[in-house]
Amino acid sequence: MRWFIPFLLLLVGCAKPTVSITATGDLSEPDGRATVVVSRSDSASEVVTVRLSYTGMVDDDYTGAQQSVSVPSAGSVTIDLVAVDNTLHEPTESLIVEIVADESYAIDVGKVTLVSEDDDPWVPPKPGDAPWPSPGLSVLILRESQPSKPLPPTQQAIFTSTAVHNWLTRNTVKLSDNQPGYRIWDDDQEPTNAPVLMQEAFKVVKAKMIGDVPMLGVSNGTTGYVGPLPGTIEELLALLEKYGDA
Amino acid sequence: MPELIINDENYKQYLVGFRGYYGMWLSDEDRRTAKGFGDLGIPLIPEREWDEVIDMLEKSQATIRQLSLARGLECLDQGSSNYCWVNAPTHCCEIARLVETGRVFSYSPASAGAPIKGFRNVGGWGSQALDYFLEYGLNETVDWPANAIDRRYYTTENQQKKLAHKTLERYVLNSWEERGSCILAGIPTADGYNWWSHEVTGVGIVKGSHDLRIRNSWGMSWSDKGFALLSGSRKQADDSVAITSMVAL
Repeated sequence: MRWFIPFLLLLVGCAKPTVSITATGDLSEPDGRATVVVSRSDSASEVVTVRLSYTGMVDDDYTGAQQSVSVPSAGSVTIDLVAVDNTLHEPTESLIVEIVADESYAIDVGKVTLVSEDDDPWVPPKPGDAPWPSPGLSVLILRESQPSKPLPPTQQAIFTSTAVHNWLTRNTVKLSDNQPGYRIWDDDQEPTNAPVLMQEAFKVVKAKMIGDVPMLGVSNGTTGYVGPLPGTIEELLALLEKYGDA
Repeated sequence: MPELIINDENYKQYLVGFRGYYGMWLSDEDRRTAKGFGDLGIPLIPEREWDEVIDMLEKSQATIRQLSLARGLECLDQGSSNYCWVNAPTHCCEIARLVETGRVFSYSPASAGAPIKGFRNVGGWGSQALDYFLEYGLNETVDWPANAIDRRYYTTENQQKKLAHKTLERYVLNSWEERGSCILAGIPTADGYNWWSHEVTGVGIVKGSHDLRIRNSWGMSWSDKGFALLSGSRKQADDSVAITSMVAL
């Protein structure tokens, strides 16, 4: 039994602090606030540095993130996150705050999700000059095949939407290959085999691409639009109708 | 014909006919070095959240099945060939082209499978097909009939035409959640099944049951226009690969 007591003490002394994360609130516009709490349950004396990662939303949508926090014995640290009230129309997004695994601590609850709902209405852009010469309506959607931030499912659904493809087939000009005048392309390649009209569209839309935001280019020969791809099928069709009727 | 449901009880009746899939081919090294789900840029959707996305896609008429049927994209028919392993990836290319151009392309699985296999009618793996698509591309069936394992079509002109139909990337998927997330993002998967010695295209997930909707390469008269469901452990593929885009056309 005498050997057992120091062995037990050694075991207790080697036990890792256990950390957890919880959150309350949300980051919805216009004035969302969320409180993230990183806590530890053990009473070992040394302070533990807990690393955190944030995924899902862009930094422009919230402030207050801390990449690491020092949690005292049997205590907790609070991080206050504040939503940024921008004027962009965005889909509902999620921010995942996660404790990064580390040898110096064990993780009990390691992840929380905070929701951000947008309060900005979608406003169709005003018509401008035709972005590229087009004998009728032509449309190009450009997307980065490996964006740093995944597209939300409602926007991803645009690409396989029967309604979108049917509308574009009915309403776009016939190209030199006698095919409908629209394309949905990866932005990483030069479309040298494509009809000249779509090559022109590619140059214009690609030049206005910011980061890896998916882009929409529309030209009816008189007016047009080049800008971010709307977030839903309904919004895209509303925008296309506007130029299709022009 | 109603859509067949292949499950753990009845699957043996479907173990007839073809032996086109050779089982696991990807080496550990290949799995480590190949592009994976994380490179795709689509969200990994936890399975508990799938029903919400399925609901949205179905109501929006934006599933791969709905788009294929609406636009007249038929399934492939491998006939008496053992080329399921190239038919499934070929159908992935046809779906990718449909999304990119709105046009139905008819591609020849044999135009890739035959050169890969030295013009022998033997089985293989989906990854072999995708490697070939990346480097050489595919012919349309107007240039090379779908099941023609025939050197007469292996011409310089056809090899040149293939280059306009190359794929840009290939991805290896490693879990059911990755496969489901891919399909829900409109990206079909080419899935090989050891139990079936067969490879088919994964094109949908059923709300609630999370059965996998496949499109087979046994012609439009099989099941419901080539669509069927894999249920229970039958849907667990032994390898799964995907493509997202092809050379712009």
